[in-house]
Amino acid sequence: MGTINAAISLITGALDADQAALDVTSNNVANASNESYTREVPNWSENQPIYINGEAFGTGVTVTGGVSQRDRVLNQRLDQQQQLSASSASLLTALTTLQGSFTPASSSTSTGNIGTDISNFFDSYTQLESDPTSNAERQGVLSAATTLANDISSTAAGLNAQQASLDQSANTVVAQVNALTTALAQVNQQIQSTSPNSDAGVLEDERQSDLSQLSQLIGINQITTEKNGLSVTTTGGQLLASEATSVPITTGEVGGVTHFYLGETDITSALASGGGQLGGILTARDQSIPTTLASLDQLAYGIATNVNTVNNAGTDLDGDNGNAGNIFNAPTQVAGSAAALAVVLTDPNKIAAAGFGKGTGDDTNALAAANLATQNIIGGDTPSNFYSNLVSTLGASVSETTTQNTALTASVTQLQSQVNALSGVNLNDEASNLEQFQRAYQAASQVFSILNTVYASAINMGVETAVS
Amino acid sequence: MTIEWQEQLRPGVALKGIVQQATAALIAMDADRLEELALCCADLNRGLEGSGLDEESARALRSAASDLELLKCILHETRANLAVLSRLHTMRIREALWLGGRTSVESRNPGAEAFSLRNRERTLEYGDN
Repeated sequence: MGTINAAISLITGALDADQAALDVTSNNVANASNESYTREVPNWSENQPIYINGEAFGTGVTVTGGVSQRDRVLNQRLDQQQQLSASSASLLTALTTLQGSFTPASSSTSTGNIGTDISNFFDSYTQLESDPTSNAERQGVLSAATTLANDISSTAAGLNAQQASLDQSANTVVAQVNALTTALAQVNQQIQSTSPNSDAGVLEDERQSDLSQLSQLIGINQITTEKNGLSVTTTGGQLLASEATSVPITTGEVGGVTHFYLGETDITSALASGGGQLGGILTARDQSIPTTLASLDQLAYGIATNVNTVNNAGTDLDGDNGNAGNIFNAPTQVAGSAAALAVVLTDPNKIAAAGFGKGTGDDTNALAAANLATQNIIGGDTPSNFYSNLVSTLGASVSETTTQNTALTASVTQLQSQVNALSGVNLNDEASNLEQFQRAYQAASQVFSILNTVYASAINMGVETAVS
Repeated sequence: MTIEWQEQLRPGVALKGIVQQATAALIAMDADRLEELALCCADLNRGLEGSGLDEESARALRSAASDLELLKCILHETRANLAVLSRLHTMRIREALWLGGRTSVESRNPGAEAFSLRNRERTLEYGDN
């Protein structure tokens, strides 16, 4: 070292390094609007010094591309929170729709209000009790019964339709999950073959983008493997993608709804508790709706069986004792009672208002039917209270899920801002870097120019010596 | 740390406002604002100790229950995020220290390094002569 040639070589390297740093910064600026892009910083690497007579002489600097500014732990935490947030968001949407199927008992709206229907039905028996032979009052009972049965059965039909719609949504989400795990396996393979020991830059961005999308859809665990590989499992531990191989989720129908499988294993319930959009959808489909529907069935079954029993215990207007027949269709089991509820009695004379064996003008049986309103005949509650509890339980679930969803969204916001600060392109920073590298480039050029002059002088000195 | 509305409004209403603002500050991880609000809470407590709770204040306090529940949930989530964020903070401090050390030996700025080496070479060339 210590020669002009060495200095020129060194400064040429510096110019190259500055140029490479400018390229990295330019690439950052170009990708400023690209959400999946991760900011890169130039990887400056000092060249090995040369030692002459024990003294070290620097040999300049090299830029070996850009290094992506990412933190895998932070990204994984964000993915986890996105899974929970997406799950609560889709559950909240389903619960809000479910809640919309029920008008609160306190509402003043009468149309489709099961709570009002229940009151009106038992009130119609109170009216009949005051005039047991009145055809108008008998028609009133049948009319109130029909309204109640129609509202309960149409609400049950609505719940079944919502369940079918969620089932279809779950299938759509699973198709998206399968496409993403396939893409993930392909990126894994590319990363492992091209960057087994270092950050894969754009490919790593692509993999992170796939993982982020996957986290919106399904609950996953990420396991890093050898040579920069990655395995992805469901939160229940079933393999979805292992390095270059993906395992598709398959479907099959069980009890009228779609179940999901990995290999031979039914992972439906694990997916429901796992998170992501799918978790919320399956929780609503398999838990929230069936629970609500079961309560509605219990209500329909309780009202129908008790009212039918009372009607068959009295004397109708035709004088038949204990043989008036059913007002509602007789349910054989609780399940399905709500959807099937209907009024089967068409003749108002067959309403048994009189007590067994008493004259047709008696009102004992109508009173017994009216009193069902205040008796704990459904799950230890009166019909109105039972329905009221059903609606308020649903409201509490919506409220709880809303709070949970807001908190999880806040958590995602906190993490996302950290990811943006670390990995996002800040144009002010990049402008500052451009300025810095440009000045460094100009300085190196100036050095190069000076060295060139020195070199020319040295050559001329040689020429002058030779001439003289 | 006096806030106009804190003095003017009733304690229950003020609490609801504080809780909502604390929730927003917590989401934004605005520590300064959270400290301000904590001082507001202390002021509010002192005010309540003196005056006692009337029926209206108690009702207003109950109305803040859902906001408090939300704040509690966000606090829980933030606490769970802290392990990751602390790790990131440590990483940044380490990086800043490393960059500081690097700047002090004037070795990574390519231009400065080139000038420095050029001077060394010049000295050696002069020495050779």
